[in-house]
Amino acid sequence: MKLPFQLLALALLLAIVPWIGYRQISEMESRLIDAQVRALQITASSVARALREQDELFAKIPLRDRVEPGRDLYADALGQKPVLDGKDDEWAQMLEQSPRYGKEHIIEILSAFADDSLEFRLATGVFDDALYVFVRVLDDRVVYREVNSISVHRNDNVQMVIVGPGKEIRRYTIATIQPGEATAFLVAARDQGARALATEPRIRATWLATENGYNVEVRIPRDLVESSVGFAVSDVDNQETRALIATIGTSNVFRPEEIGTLLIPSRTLEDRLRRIVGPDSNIRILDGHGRVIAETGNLIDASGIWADLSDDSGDGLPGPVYRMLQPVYDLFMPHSDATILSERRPLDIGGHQITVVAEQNTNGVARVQRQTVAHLMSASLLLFAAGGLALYGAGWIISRRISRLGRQIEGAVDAQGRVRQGLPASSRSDEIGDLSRRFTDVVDRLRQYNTYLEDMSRRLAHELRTPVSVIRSSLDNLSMETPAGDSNVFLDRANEGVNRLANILNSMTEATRLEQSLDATDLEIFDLAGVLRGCVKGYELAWQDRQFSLSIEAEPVKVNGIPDLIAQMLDKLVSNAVEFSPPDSTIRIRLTAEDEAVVRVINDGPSLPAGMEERLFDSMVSVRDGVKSTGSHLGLGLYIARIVAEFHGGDIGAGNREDAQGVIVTVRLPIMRIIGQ
Amino acid sequence: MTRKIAIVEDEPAIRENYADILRKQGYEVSTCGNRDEAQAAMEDDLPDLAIIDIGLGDEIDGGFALCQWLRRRSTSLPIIFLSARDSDFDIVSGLRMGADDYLTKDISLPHLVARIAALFRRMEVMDASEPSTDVIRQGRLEVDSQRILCRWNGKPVDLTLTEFWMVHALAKHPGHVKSRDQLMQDSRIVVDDATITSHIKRIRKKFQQIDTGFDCIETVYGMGYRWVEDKQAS
Repeated sequence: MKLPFQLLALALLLAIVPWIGYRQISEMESRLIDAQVRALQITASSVARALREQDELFAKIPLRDRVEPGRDLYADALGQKPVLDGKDDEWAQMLEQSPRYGKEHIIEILSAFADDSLEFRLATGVFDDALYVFVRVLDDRVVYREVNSISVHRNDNVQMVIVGPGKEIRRYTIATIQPGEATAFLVAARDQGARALATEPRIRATWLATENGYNVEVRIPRDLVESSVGFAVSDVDNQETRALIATIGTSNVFRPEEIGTLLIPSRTLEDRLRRIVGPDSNIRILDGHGRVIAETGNLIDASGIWADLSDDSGDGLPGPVYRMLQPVYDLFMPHSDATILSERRPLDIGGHQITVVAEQNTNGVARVQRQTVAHLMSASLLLFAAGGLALYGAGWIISRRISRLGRQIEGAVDAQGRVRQGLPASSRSDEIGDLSRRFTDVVDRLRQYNTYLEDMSRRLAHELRTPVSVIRSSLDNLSMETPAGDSNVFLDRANEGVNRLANILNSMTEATRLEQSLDATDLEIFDLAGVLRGCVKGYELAWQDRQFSLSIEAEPVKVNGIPDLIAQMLDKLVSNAVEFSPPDSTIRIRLTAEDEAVVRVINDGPSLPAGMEERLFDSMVSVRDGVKSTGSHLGLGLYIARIVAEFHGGDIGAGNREDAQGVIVTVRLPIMRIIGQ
Repeated sequence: MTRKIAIVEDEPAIRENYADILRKQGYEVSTCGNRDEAQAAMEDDLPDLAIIDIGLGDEIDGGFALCQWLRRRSTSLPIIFLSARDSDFDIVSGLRMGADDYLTKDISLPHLVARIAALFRRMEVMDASEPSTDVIRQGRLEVDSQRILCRWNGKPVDLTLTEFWMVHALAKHPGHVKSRDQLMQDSRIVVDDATITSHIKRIRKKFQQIDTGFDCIETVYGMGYRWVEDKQAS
């Protein structure tokens, strides 16, 4: 894997940051909830304390030790204002929970009463400043009031007895001559004749005939009612006699002491509660029977102390980005269900058991978590992006520097392993700079050693020259002292040896001198074919025991260079070919020119040992094996050939012939193209 | 009159060998091992010929300095560099310093002796200006092997001894190719092919300084060189 990607992979370690954050958030949840619970406890306690100190608030609330279902009524707070139309759809649920008032609730009976001939259900509710009462009566025969009748009781009717704020008892009877809007009549007490005294305009009622009876829906201003109320339904079945059959009631409406209670949530108490606690809690005050006396706030909005942090949108990010990242946030959101925190404080008011219930939802906590997750994710994503980018960039830079260093090192040494040039030392102070400087140092030392090696033959030759000339001059002196004609065989042999030694020394320095002279020589454009032709003529004279065949396939072949050097190179190649070929064999020299000029020297003879093709042209390399050596062979001839070929911008190579009967040496030289020709 | 030869050479064995053989030839030889010694000895008494090594003890170019010093004292004193150094650079430098010849230490003593004799002969002939008997004429070329003198178009060409012998060998058989080996033999030096090539180049340049159209020395690639007939003259 490339270095930048390795570092990028390392950036994945940054993923541990959001993970830790996620863990923290999970832990945070319980702490937040703890804090909220404590705050809720304080709220509940302080509400309880405040209520205990202000028990006059409960004065008008009918607190009872004992509550008789059906008799003691409770007016629940209604969610919306009921339409006064007699239809029971708004009331259906409450009617189901209502007791069935039937024969067990008969408060007077005047004639034979069939068990199921009359029964009713009743629901009460409060909305705003009005008390709503809904009565659903099952009656087999509905008898309406006569048009001109004075009495309001000689027909089916609904009676109400209400104890007002001043403890005064008012009785109302609701009767109608036809379904629709019904009238509430204020009536006298029974012992005073039960006469209709007046109509009560403040009370409005609607009478609706139903399939098996009728519904009466009544709206009573709240200030008419304090805490006691009773409802009763009287049944008249005979249209002619209009005799009362029976009356069924929630309580005995005819006896003031038996009138049942009506518990209405107290608005004063609720106002008071609202002042004590804010809307961030749902506070309910329950009487001893679990009925709600007062309630403030609603559970949906009551998010407790975290409610004010409920700014859920934005999080400093642009809207679209936030929305785009929303799924990511959701992925990391702790998925806990919303819970309700509930705190109860029992309370004793005038000997009655009261309970303060304070409740809050944990939406606030969820919101805080959500916000934190959003913050965390945004920060993490930013960190990811920035960190990843930085690491990738750093990796890219480092890898680029390393590969550049690699290329430089590679370029410093050529294919033959010679140090071509020094390495530019990096000035950077880091490890890669260090590496570069060390390489520079190593290459430098290598180059010095290389130079030393390359110089060695020259220096050696130079150093040997002096003793050779000592020997030579001494021999010369000696031979001059020897009388003429008296040839001394030992002197001749010594002279021969010294001459050979001098030849060796010359050839040792030849390559170096050639290299040194190259720079100082002027180039000329010449015809390669002409040079070859001249050379081959010379070879025919020089080596009588070899045939030479020259084939020139293109002419002229213009080459920019030094013809003497090319001839010198060819000398080396041909003398090499002569040496490795059997006597009287033919040495073929071919010149072809396409993109470049190609000179091939082909000879019969043994094949090259495997692996020697490249090294053959190095200095001091010789592959002579079993070939009779006739002169001094330092392996410099082909090295000189290579120097010449490379000086002309070409290359040289050797290979075995396809028929394995000899060797081909190939020299490629660039052709000089004259513009316009 | 016995001629005086000064040998300045830091290697005692070589110095003494040369001195011995030159004494046997009848020369009066004085030897020195370094530049200071040589300058002190030659300060008042200039020799008739000086043979100088380039590297003298610690001074790697001491011979060059000495050559310059001698040239300032006498423009006519023959100076021969005899050195183990055989690079083109050294040869060119040595000849530019005003040396009459540059020989490598490969040279055999008989050859050295012959060169010295030739140099002295040239001096004598120049002094005496007697008519010469051993002259080769090829077109505008005139090679006097007795005086070691070469003229082109009547103007003297300033050749070193080695160069002179090469021109002499080429001009003696015009049209015939002289291989490098033959040239070496004729000029009595032992050098490699490349040195012969650079000698030929220098010879051509020297002729071209007199006559820019000079092209009588032809390279026969792979074989050697030959003197071609001077077309203008014929």
